[in-house]
Amino acid sequence: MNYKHLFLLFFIALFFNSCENDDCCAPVPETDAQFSSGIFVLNEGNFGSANASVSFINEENEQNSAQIFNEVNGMDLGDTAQSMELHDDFAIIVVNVSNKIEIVNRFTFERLGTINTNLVNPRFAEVIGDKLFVTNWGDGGNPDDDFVAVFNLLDFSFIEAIPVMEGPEKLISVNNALYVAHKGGFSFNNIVSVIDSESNTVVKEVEVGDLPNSMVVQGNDLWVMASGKPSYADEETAGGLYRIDLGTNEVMEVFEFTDNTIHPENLQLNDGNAYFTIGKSVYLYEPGQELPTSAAFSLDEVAVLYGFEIYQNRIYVASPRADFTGDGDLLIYDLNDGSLLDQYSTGINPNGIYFN
Amino acid sequence: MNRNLYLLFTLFLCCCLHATAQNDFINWLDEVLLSDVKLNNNSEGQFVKEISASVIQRSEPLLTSLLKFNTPFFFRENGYGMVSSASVRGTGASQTAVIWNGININSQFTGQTDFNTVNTKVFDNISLRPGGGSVVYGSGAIGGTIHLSNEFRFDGNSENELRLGYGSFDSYQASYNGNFSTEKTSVNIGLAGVSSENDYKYLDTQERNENGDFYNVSLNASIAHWIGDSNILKFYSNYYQGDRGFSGTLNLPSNSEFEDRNSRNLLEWKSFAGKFTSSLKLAWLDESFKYYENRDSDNFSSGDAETGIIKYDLEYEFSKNKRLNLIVDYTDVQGEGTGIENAERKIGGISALWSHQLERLSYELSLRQEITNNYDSPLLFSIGSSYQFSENYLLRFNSSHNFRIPTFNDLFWLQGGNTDLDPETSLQAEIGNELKFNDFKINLTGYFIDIDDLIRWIPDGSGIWRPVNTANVHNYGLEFFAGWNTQLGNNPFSLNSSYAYTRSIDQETDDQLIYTPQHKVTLSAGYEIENFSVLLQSLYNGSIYTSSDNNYELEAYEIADLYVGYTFLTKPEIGVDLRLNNIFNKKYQSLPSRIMPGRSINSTLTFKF
Repeated sequence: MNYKHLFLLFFIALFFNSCENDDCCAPVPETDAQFSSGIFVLNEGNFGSANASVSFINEENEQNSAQIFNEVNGMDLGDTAQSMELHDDFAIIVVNVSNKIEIVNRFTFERLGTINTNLVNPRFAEVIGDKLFVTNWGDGGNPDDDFVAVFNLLDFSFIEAIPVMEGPEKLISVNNALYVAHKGGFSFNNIVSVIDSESNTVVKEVEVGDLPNSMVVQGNDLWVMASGKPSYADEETAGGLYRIDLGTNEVMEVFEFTDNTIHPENLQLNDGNAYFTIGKSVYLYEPGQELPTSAAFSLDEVAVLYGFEIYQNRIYVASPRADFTGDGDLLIYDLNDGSLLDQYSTGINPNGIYFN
Repeated sequence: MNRNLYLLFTLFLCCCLHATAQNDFINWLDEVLLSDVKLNNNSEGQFVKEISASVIQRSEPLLTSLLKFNTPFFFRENGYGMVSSASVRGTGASQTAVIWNGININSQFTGQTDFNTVNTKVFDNISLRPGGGSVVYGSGAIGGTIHLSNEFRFDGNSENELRLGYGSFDSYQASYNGNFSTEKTSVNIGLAGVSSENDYKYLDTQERNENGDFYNVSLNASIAHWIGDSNILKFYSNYYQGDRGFSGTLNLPSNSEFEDRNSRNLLEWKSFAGKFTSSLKLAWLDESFKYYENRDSDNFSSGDAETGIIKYDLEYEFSKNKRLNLIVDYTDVQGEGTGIENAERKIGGISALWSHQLERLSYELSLRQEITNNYDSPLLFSIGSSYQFSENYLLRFNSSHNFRIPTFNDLFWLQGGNTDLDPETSLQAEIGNELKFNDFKINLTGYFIDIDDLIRWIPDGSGIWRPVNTANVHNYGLEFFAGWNTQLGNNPFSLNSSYAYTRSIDQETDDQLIYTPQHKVTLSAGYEIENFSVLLQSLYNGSIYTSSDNNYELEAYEIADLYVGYTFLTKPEIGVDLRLNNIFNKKYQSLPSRIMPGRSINSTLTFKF
């Protein structure tokens, strides 16, 4: 059974249904839709101020539209937008402080639904089949109430909460398995948990370095970047790279930095090469080789490196204003030499870049 | 025994000791009755505004509410009764010092006082002094100082006042004040409490202010006792206990709770010997808080700081108009809490204050140097002068060097605290004009403040938020106070107004600092006729920027409150009053998404016996 087709069918039915009382709206062909091709920048806004927003940028025609969720839907996105997941026709926006998820059509940004129950401090979302998985920290001060919430993507209903160890953050799907990196929330953690998406159970907890912050899949390997504990921790620890075999879910190789003050982040793949950042510097890494000792280049125009993506030989950086008030920037660099190619103004505190 | 008799009595006693002591007495009187003598004696070149007892009585009990309607200062409130901070002359929340009976009570953790954790009903006198004052009042006295004081009387009378109130959102207010005195002993007791469900509706929305319930209780006791004829012991004690749910915002639900427990104690031994006045003060302050992110759980974070102060002040009066104070003091602060370890501060200080009054010209010079291993301490100074051109016109000038020391959070916060911080320092000057025509009084002041090494929390290279000495800000503006207290058909009538024009410019970006309005106005009118009294209070807050690029702002608003009181009986005095808050039901907010209440009503029954 192809879930995708079933889902599309359902979705089209839903769409026609919703149009019955609306004489204006013929279904928008996806290619002509307003946001069919370009970049979404998620702007988390200020904590407590409910001024999160989404910007849409089209590099081809230099279009830069601010507040597209608000403009299209006539309502505020909410407080502290944490992340966005693009899946099929959906853009799934996790709004951390508002404890909700807004689900919109990724081409029109029209709101399809809101999930605002069974979420406590939601962080990141991932879809497998018709199930939506969302990591949750629970109360910041409580290490034992963290969970991955499971929702039905067909009707946005709640299925169940999977209790997990402290601080589940990013998650990535491989076939029917879900790999969840536990940075630790308000504390520190050092595991990747493996969830079976059919039984909704944790099947394994794999120990990696402290604060696993990003994961990529290459072949039969899951590469996990751990940043190590920061200087304010009881004991500062070095970051490192961990290669996990997707068949056995065992750590096969460890590459650790020797200096405890080095805290790498943002592992990305491009053309078989891996890239990561330390501070505002970008490092090039060939998977399986020794860790690089010097940076490829430094992104000096960045005020704060808050969101980082590599896409089609370009580096995209979401950079808030240094004091985290006011509008930030999207900076676009050439991956080959680190030269600044373009720059766009964004909303308040951009934290993520998503390609449509 | 009334005040004059008391004066005569002490005068007589004194004359036996010193043949020429008559003038001392006037001085002594201030020294004895007031807790914050320096506010009286060492404010040369600065304007001190006292908020009258009747205005305090007719205002809501929380300090924010009193000050926002009666001063040109701007207050940022996270909702009614929630965390509230002041911006005075465009400065930040930790650049205004709150002074309790002469002692700086700003928090060791945040460097600021939450103006909604002060109940005004337990104080006899509330004054404000815009401008610098670190020489006398220490850290944070850059924008201005706000003084909460208790006073003594030795008239042999006793007085009791009991107030009970109830109002919208299930709000209860109660206070009791008792004054008892003999010729040798004076005792003041104040007890006040407020509680409210505080679940007001957010105007123009379907939502309510959820989780904003609060209560607080304040107890204040002050005791003075003469030992012999030239020694007096004074003791002040204040205890505050308050629990609050921190309300959510328009889009942000909240289930958190915050508990404050503050105690402040001050013992002073004052003795008078000829031209010398000596004062030894011992103070002990304790501030503690608990924060529950989820009020239904047992998990909380907390902080506790204990401060001990010993201060010796020797004053020598060279002549009637020449006075020198030499002060040495030592402060020890110990703090601990969630995310804070080994927080300690030991500060030794030495100050000299010189004041001289000539016929029309008065001037004052003061210096202070602190010694501590916590930070590099600048030499603080203040130069003030005034010249009385005529009975209608007084010109003032004051210039000072002040500071705001890094807080415990700045220094010792585990996730980024920076022990290499320097204090924020300010160099500032002001020129004030005072005009008086019969019942009409105007004060107009222009000022300039250059603040260096502003401490800000910003992310460092690895994304960790850390405080650093970064910005340089220039504040300048105009401040205007006007008052007209007269009789209208033999009935007391008063009109009071204040206005502030404020520019607070970051020198790097040339932009106005966030949360700092360019304009603020207050206007109030009071009238009494027979047993009735009416007071109308209003304010206008100009728009504020909410982002440092000045791309986002909160719109301006104006609100008004109406008070009507009626006295039934005079002996014992029984009165009832009604307060209508936000009479025009205006939707307003002083911080983004933090909606304030619409129209509400409160009534109070007062007994005096």
